[in-house]
Amino acid sequence: MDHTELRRKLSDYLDNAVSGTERREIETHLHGCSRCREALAELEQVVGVIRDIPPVEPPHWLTTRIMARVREETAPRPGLLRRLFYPLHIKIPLEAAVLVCLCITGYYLATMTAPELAQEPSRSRQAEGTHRLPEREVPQAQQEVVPQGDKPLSRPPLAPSYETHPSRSGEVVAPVPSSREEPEIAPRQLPPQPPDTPAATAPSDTIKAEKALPAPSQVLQGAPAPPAARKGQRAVTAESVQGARDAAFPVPAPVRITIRVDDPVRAEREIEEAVSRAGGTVVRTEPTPTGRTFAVRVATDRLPDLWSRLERLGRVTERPHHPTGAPGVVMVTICLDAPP
Amino acid sequence: MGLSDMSETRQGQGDDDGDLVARARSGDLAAFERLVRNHQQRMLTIAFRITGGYEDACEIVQDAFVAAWRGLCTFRGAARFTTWLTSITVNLSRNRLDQIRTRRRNEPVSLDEPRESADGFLPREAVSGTPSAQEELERRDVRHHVQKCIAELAPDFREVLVLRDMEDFSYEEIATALRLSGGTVRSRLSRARETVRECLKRVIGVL
Repeated sequence: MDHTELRRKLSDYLDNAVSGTERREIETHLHGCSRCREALAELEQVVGVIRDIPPVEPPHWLTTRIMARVREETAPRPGLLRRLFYPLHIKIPLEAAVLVCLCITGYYLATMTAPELAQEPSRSRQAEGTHRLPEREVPQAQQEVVPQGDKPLSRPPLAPSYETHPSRSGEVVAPVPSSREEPEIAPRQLPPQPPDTPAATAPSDTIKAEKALPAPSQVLQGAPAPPAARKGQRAVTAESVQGARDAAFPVPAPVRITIRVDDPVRAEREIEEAVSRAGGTVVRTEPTPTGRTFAVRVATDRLPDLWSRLERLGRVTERPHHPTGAPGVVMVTICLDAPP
Repeated sequence: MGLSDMSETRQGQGDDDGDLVARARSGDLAAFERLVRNHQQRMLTIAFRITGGYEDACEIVQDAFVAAWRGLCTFRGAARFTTWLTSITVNLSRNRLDQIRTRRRNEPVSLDEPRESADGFLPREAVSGTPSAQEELERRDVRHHVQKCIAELAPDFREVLVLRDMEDFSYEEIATALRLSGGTVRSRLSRARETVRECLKRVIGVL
């Protein structure tokens, strides 16, 4: 065993942690090596000094403090109710104050948000009213967009699409405006009016029709029913303000005129031209077994002009009685009768 | 006094812990208080030798006994209660030592303060250099220098030395408490003792 190896084992030798063989080898080496004996003596002295170092005295409060913390650990935790409400004289008033604050906040929030919700139907109503009131302006705009005669059914985006709907008897009685394009038109056509003014609750013949008839898209395209929100909004709008509107404005009844012609193809073109020249709009047209029907929207004060133009096309077999002097817009159903 | 004699004087401590531990596990606070009184000084010494701070050592011992109370239900008696408690104390001391190092690292450095040594300790005064008269007197106090040399050891070596030579744990107990192999314990102990010997020879001259 050389010196380096022996020095490494001296610590174990001191602790009597070597085997018998190693012990004999170490002692043999030490017997003949004075420097290693000196190293062992020094190491033994160092260990002795270390072991002489007295232990650290604990403070007098250490046991007490340790046990206090241990008792805290063992103390049962109060139940949920006790933690929530005890001590009563502190927590009950505090919680009551918090509850009152919550109620006030809830009431405040409700009053802040409720008007917005309540305004939704009136806004839509206003949009419909503003869209329909300036009926005189719409045809002029449409005259610029809709080509004369060629494709009367293809509507430009800005023109409100109106469709006719069958009544209970299967007869086309009233056109119904589609609300899909209302927001685009309403702001440009009419400045906003206060809700109490007659203009805001303007009568609309189309509202009655909406209430009684299926949705326009349903009739025209066979599409499924519109979303519930839309339907609900319409129902609320029609039912709640119908009486007020009728009282404020007399709503013109739908008008029907039947013309018997010999050349239906030519007559169709001429009808559309007559309607256009009378400032009206062909909302929809449908073939019938004996001809074709046109749903036309026209201002009441232009009805005489339209009648005169239509009378030139053929023989009027059914002529309506209508107060032509009343202001507003009326939906006219022109039945083109061309017997074979 | 031989080494075996010293060992005998320190042995036997905690041999009657079994009954106290069993009673404490059943919720007997008085039994646990007896355990506290029996072991608090030893744990305090270990914590103090590892961290070098008395206040820190007191807090560590409190935390260690509270942790032992919480963990008594998991203590199955595979090791002695002392070994188990020492393991808790050493772990808490290591954590505290890391906190102390981090705190000192973040403190602004003063030219008047000593620099941090390689093992993370801040020697309060130079070990070598021209000694003053006062220092010459202290130099004769071997025990004082032994403590300083131990404090300069790396923590891993210091733990083994403290447990073996100051608290008289067996190699197996040290291995259990520190979760080390027996060979590692012997190796670290040998190097720790040799380092302290060299340190003392450097400081004092002749042992």
